[in-house]
Amino acid sequence: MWDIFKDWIFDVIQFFYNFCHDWGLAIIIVTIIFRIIVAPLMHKQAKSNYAMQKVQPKIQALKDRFPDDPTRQSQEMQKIYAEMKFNPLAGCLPMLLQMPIFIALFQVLREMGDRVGETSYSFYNLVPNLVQTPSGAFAEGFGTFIPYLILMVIFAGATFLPMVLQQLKTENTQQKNQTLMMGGIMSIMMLWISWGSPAGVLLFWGASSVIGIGQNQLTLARCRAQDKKREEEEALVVKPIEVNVERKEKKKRPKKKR
Amino acid sequence: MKKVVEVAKKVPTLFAVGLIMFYRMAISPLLPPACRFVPTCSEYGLIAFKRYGFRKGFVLTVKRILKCRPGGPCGYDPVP
Repeated sequence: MWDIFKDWIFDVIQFFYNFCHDWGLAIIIVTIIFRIIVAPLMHKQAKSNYAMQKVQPKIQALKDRFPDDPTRQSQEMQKIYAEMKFNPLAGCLPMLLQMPIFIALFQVLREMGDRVGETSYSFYNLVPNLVQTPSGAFAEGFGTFIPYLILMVIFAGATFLPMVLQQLKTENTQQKNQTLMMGGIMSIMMLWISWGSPAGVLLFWGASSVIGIGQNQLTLARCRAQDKKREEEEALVVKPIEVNVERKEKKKRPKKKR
Repeated sequence: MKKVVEVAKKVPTLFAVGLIMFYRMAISPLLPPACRFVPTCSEYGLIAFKRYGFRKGFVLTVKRILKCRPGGPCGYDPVP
């Protein structure tokens, strides 16, 4: 059953290979197609993240207002989030149940060398052998290692970049440093993982992350532009008319003289 | 000796936190976003493990993930 499933994934990749005659490009095309399928979900999520960031000051204000009353705090937070019109997604459980698809994809990419057979398994001439691991390429000499090094850097950088982008606007220095340090440790771990992974896996992983980051930034930029536009329109339309309401000095009513 | 035992007690928690961190940074960006809650399941798990230690944190996290499915509740759901 598992093998049939893996064969099917391989067939999909091979189908694209028959179009473009390059395994690396085929992997990237599969990645892009997958990303396009999940794009609406990503868009929704990025939007809700943006909205979440906008209510952050409100939440901070709440914490300042009721510092010793956690129940009241959580009640008020409940209210804020209810007002935000939080739209429910499918949920984590169904997604975790889909994890086997990913594990199969990884295994296929790892075993690609045995499946491909005679044809050269390369990404044009950029990466000569996608089954090779960076550690193996390093043993062959520095010249062969360079493309693998670039892949590794993209792969590790793609995990670090979103954190940097997210933290750029945070004022809180302590939190910023902590997050950046955590990201640094993670990037080193990713480098270590990539050291022993076939280049094909890195290609898929890196491409997917880079596309994800790009899409996220695009959505954020659009949200910001929309907000700005709305603000400008509001400033134009709802500008209150300034009325001079200064009272005049009260004069005594003239009395009739008799 | 006491210190060693204390550190040893923390090992499962640290392991779990590391695992969640790895999921958040490496695996989650590959998958479509899915969580129905604020904070998300992984954030919830991190807080729960840090606050309650391994056993209770694990139970809370599993409960939370089981709740996070179509037809379940959604919205704001903090760690108790």
